[in-house]
Amino acid sequence: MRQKKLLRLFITMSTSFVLLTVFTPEELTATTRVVDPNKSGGCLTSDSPPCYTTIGAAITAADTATGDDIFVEPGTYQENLSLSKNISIQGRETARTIISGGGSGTILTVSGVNSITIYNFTFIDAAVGISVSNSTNVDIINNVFNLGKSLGTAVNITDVPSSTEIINNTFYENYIAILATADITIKNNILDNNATALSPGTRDMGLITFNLFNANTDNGPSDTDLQSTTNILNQSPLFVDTATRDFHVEEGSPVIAAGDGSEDIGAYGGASADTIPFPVSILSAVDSSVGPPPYQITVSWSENLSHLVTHTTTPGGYNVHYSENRSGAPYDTPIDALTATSEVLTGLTAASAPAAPVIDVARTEYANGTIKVYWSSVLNATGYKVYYRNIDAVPAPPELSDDVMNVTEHAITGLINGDNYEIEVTAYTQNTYYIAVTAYDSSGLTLEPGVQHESDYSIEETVDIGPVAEGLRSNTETEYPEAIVPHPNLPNEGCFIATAAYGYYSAPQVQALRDFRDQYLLPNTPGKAFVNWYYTYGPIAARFINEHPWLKPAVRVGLLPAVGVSTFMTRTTMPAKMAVVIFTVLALFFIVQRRLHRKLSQH
Amino acid sequence: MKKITMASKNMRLIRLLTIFASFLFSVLLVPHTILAADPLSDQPRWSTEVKGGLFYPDIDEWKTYYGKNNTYHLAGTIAFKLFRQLEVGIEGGYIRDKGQGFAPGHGNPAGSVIYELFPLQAFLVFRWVFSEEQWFVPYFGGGWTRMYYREKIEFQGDVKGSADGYHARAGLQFLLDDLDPDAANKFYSDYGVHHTYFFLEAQYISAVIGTPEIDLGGTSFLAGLLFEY
Repeated sequence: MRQKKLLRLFITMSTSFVLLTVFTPEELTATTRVVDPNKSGGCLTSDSPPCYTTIGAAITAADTATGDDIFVEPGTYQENLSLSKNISIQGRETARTIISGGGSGTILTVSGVNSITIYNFTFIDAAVGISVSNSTNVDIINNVFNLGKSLGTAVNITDVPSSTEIINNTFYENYIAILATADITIKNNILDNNATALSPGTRDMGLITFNLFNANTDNGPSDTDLQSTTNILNQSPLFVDTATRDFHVEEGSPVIAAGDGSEDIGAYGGASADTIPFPVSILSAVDSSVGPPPYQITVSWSENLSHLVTHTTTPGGYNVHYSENRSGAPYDTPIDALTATSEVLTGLTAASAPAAPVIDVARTEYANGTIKVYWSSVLNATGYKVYYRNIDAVPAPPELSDDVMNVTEHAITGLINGDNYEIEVTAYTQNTYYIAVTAYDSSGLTLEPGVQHESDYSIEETVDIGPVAEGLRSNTETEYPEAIVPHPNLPNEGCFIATAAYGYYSAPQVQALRDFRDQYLLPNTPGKAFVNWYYTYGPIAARFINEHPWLKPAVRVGLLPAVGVSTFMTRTTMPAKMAVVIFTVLALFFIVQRRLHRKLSQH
Repeated sequence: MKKITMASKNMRLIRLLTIFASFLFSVLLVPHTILAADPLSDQPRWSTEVKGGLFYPDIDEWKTYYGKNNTYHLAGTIAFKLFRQLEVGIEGGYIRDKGQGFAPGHGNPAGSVIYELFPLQAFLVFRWVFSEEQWFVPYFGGGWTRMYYREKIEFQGDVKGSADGYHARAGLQFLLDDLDPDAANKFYSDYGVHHTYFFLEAQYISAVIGTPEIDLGGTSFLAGLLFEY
């Protein structure tokens, strides 16, 4: 009896456990979705976290039930977005994560949500930056709005309760900075150079605190009302550079530590502000070596004037990053330049001569006026030179060379068919230094370029150092080019007689006649007429020659003047042609003179 | 009593198999049961072929210069049906291979040559059609060929020309309509295509040029689709 009870209990518990396990809903976890159109190799479906090339695609994929986060890498996104999901959208770096409306429309339309955070973006060029309606708990934090003073409403809020908060934003040059039909929290913002800062002007001033109002045509609320709730009036925020949209503030700005909780006012204050300084630009990077070696490069860059970098008591500074013969991050060597805006990179070395390559003689190819050689690649070579010399020509012409950059094969063209050429290859190298500069802030915390407390890299500069070091010559390849007879060797339309006489279409003599036709006959009407006449009757003569092969030598002799003139006209330079013409005219002149003189003396 | 040897036994077996194969072939040529309300009962007037396959050139030492003894052949035709069984049409094709030429001084293959043929053909073709629902249709035909050619020689230029000749072709086409009657009916109602066939074809081309004579033709084995409309 007891056993039966135990068995029943066991079955009941087991069944319950199984049912609970099967039917208990899986725990919902938020997914971070990354928007990165510049991701190396592109976004893949297998990426984790999921990657997208547009913000719109990430919003579409976001799961409203889990409250997904969308994280947007720096870039300029031209999108018009609609959002009705409870998610957060964050840019990595406010100044360089830009969403543009392309001059019209609404960039981000938020409707029917009850929890959303939008932070660390710069909104530009649109009729409306963010439009919010029928929503609650909307937080707009640490953004820059710069839509155009005659164009845009930065934030347009309708039908929302007071749970909406606009905190630590910078509104610069907008038609209306904030248009809100309800009373909402507006705190720690900079509203500078807008046509209208707040609209309508009559509102609950208890919610409008710790903002800076400057140079707006119309602030909205009266100065008295604004001053009554800790707002700062008519003081320049001292932006670093509005032209490049660097809305960090300089040392001495009235917004520093002036916000609620002694935070900075504006887009770069508060706990959610990005910690990445604005990038600097390299002004110059030059080889400043004096009597090398050793070699050195002097780099100078623009100053980052943000008070976060230039802090008077605990300043930030600059790092110079460089690599030898390798482009891009991560760089091999960082140098802390402290607060200086130039640095000398010393102890740099020139390249040593690379080894000699080896020509693969088994692979050498030859064609009409062309020899193609292949060689082994050489470690550290940045390029190769192919030297060649005609060893049959008399007098011996000078050696020529082709700089073929960093490849291991080369076709030498313009050679004389049948003449032997000696070919050698050398490898060369020169050290190139790739340099980028970053600014870092005064926090003293761990630095990571473009991620935390250190700016992204500047645009990279390259400097070549030391002489080009050329290595020893390779083995010598001796080869001669020749015209190729295609298989099958078919007759070509045109140059019929010459093809018949010389046996194949690609004979150099036939080529000379063909070139003469193309360069001197076809461009003019009489020449064209002659070519047409020849195309009509030439094949008949060619057929006759082919049927009577014994005629070929005689035809070749007959064609010699034509081939000679064609070769001269198509293979010589203009000075050479002029020289021959002048010589011929002079010779004729002297011959005629001499004959006249002889005749006169006979009389 | 007549002795049956092993050889005569084999001969009987072959004869039986031949008779059976002939019977099977005849059955296949006979139309199958006609579908009710078949929209394909009216007869097509035009046909178009799209085909591709291998071309075996009749040129000596082809393999020495081009690496293998065949290359690809693509073609398309359009033809008008003089009768249900007899068509007159034109065909355009493209044959290409890449190989080497000959270096007379070195005495071996060298360089890089792209060999192209553009056969343009006018033809008559007889299709052994007894019924619009016939599954297997043998056909044969032939006609005049104008073979345009081009040889692109690296670093030298092109050799171009043409030669006249003839061609003959024969093949067997398989009616595809019954594999998916709905699609066939839609193809007919939307585009007016009565029948779609898959076909296999052998084609021989001859086009001689030059002295000594070179035959630019060869034999092609092609497969394709035939649309009758």
